[in-house]
Amino acid sequence: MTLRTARPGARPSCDCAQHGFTRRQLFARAGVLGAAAAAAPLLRTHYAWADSSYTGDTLVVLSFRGGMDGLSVVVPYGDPAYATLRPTIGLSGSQLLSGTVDSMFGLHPALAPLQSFWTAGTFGVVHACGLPAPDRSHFQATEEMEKASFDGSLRTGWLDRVLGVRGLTGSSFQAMEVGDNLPPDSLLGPNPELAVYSLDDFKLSGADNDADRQQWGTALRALHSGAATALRQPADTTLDAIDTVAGLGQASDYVAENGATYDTNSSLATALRDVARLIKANVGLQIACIDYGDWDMHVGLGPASTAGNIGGTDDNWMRDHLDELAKALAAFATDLGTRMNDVTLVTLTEFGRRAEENGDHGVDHGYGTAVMLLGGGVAGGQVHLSGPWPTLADPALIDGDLNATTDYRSVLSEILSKRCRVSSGDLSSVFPGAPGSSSWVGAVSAKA
Amino acid sequence: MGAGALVTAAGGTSLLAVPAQAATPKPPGSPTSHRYLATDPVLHLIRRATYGYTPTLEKEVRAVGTRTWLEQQLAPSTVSDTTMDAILAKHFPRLNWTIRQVWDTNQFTNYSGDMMTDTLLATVARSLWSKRQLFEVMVEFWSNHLNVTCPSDSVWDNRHLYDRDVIRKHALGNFKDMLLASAKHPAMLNYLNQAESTKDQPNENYGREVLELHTVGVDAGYDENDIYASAKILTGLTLKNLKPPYDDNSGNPKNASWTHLEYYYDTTIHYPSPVQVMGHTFNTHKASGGEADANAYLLWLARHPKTAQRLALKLATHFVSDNPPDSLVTRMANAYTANDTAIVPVLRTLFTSREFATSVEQKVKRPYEDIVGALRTLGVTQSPLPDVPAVSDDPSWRDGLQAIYWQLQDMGHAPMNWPQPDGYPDVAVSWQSSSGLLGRWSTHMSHVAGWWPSASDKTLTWPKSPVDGKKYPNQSSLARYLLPATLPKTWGSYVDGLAVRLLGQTLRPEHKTAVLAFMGKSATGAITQDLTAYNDGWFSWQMPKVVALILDSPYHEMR
Repeated sequence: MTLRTARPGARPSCDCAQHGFTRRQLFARAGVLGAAAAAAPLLRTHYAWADSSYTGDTLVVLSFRGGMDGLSVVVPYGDPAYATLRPTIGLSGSQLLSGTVDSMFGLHPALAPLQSFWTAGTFGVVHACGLPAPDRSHFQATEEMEKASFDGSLRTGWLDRVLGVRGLTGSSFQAMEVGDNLPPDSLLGPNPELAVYSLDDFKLSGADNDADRQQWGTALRALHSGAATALRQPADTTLDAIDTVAGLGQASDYVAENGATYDTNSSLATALRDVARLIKANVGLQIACIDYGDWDMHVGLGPASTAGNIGGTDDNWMRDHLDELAKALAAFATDLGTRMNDVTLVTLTEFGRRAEENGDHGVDHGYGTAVMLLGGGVAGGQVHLSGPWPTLADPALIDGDLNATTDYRSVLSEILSKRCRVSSGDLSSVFPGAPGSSSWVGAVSAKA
Repeated sequence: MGAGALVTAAGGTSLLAVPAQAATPKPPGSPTSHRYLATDPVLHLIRRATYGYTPTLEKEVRAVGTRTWLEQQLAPSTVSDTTMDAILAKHFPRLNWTIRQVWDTNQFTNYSGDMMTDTLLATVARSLWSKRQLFEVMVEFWSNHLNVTCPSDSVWDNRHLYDRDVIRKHALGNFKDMLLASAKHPAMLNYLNQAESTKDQPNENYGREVLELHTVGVDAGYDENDIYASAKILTGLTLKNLKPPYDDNSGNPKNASWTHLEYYYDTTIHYPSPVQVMGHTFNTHKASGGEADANAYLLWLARHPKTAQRLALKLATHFVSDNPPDSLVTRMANAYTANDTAIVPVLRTLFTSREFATSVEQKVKRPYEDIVGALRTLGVTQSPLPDVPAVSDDPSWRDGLQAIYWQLQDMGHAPMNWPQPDGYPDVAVSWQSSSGLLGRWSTHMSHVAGWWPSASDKTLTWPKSPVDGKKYPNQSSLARYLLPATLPKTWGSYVDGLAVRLLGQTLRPEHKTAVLAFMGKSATGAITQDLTAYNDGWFSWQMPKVVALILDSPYHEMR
């Protein structure tokens, strides 16, 4: 495992007041610390090997660091308070993406590249979703979301725990971070993952061609052949992985299928292209994480008047950011075609934004937000909610923010259970204390 | 344990392949482990008690014997370290600045990272070059045990002092003193939110971690109520907002909002009633005696048998095995208790034990140990640069160290970077990933070949050839530096010579064969080139590859 380190540069910068909370408050909310949930110290070793015949979906997790404003992405234009709260950045029903508009919601027009997937029912949304309780600090909320241990008892990430209950296959590609060589906190823990800036970078320095690679590989395997498992196994899987990646060729030589086009200027698109290449290569990829940050739109989210001017030169942060996102996701889903039946992509962000816009065409830190879902098993073409829309009426707001009526763990639990072969018993290990299946909103269908 | 020679390694078996708690089916066909590393007690001690082998270090240990060398290392003030002292004095003078001095200087913008960068780069430098190697290893151990993540926002002006006054001051002293110092240091008070904890709204972050991480451990038998009581006892330990007249040159206040925080005991926020932790009553003083309550509680925790057991287990895990024998852990814990939390007797028990002596091949280097160790055996040193008036005026002096730091960060193991209060994991299974291994291998090649940090970097000195004085690793000087003065006559002796120079030992025959096959040579093949011209590729441009390959092997991966 490569271990994530504190990188101040990677933390969203924010000058606004931090709405901190204490662990004691969290603790009180979560109730009694169960002895079984207590983390064992990382002092003892263990190995676990599982059957590699995984038949669930590849889970792609897009991390939207910075706090995505769900109200600008899945717009509740039918909520009477919306236009009042957002006089300059609020979108009207007629501005929203046609084919996605119902009596309450419609998608931001910059999501046009995903319109056909919405119509086909493979792109959907869960709205008013978030952490179990508000936390408006970027760093703390991100850590909480990725560790998903709300009694503070676990020091591992939720995806690491998925690997733990599933068992390691021995494939270097079982769990990956693509686009960054440091994995997110969700993968923090004893189970290994592979983190790469890009597949093209995943090669041994000094081995510049196939002959060199074979020369190094032969020697390194021979030098490790008599070593203990703890040394030999990582060496073998690493060398296998280097060979596998070399076999994929250069990204620049890759030809996407079905007329898909990845924008090579978009780091998100190129990361998704690498994920698509790995999926097609059947290397055992079960979990892929990608960072797509820059959502901290305190200023310049953009006026409503220009939201539909895709490609316009005026300052419109949300429009341009969604445009890049939608094009990249559309390229990925188009390229994979029917393989998307075995892929579920989910977006996560640490919090939404304040319901009321500020004075700079922006929005400050908030709470409830939207989760996007893409994949063959997604119950798409609709906005899922737990119960009624919580509304933006003043009494319904939580300190000025959209409430989160769906715990994000409910969405992830439903995906893991229905699409990724995680048993209900194992779910309680992945998300201890999370709401049960009665809280699921029906965001995905059960995989055959 | 009394004086005497260190127990030798004879008869030891490698346990690395068979963790005591190995759960479940290992992959089929798993071969039986056999020995890579020499059992020579000198080499074994060097591999464990330092950041890695160098030929000079081996000579030093052999000259005095393992026991004497160990005692010297356990009394670091007796070890002359003039080169390191000079580097620190010239390049890291700010590490001795008080918090007030940090604020008083004009060279920082608010929340500058410069003081933290100094701390981090000095740590790397000390690991590489200090003669007080065991002390530096213990500094790293305690920095993890009482982790305050660096860099992080709230410690920008004081993390260097936490390193100096908490960790380094007590690293080979008494744990009870280190624990109390940490509890009252602004870095820890900020990092675990103790400074915000009051009788009306106790913040239990520190109160929990002092139990779970710093002392008795999560399985000590305390519950939620104990944690809450722990937080109550400690209320009052906080920071004081000092507002000195920060004047700029014009005599005006520099910035009215500029403040710096120092430790302060505030009786007004102390919870004034008795509470129980793990069945013992604390907090019996009135509010005015609250600091005495906190001290008594922390001392009780430091001396607790569970703390003794846990620290012994962690130390044995670091120095002996990922699954250290209970017999040794118990003796170390007894030494800790018998000496009222003194650390040296615990380490002496460890290093003179049969369990230690027979633990060859039971530890795998983590990335930091791997990379620092490679640079040590390659002999990279800090350049003697011209005097600069203030380091911040010319930060380029640290480009080389900065590059190494970034490489470590890319591998997820930069010093003090672990983002959680529990410190970096210390067992091999936590560090085996393909990205991590590839990172090590590629970094070895980069270092040996002098790509990055560049061999032309003026801030680091790559060794010069003893023969012609040319700077390593350019072309032929690499061979002259790393091969014996009497150049080998066969390719087999070439590989032997390199291995001895880098590792202090030769490779097993099958591994030597693998290296020779990599080179396309046979062991008995005569070296027929004109050696004075070093015109064979394996004496010049190809040589970094074979050096890197040896560093990529289990001979360097294990410690």
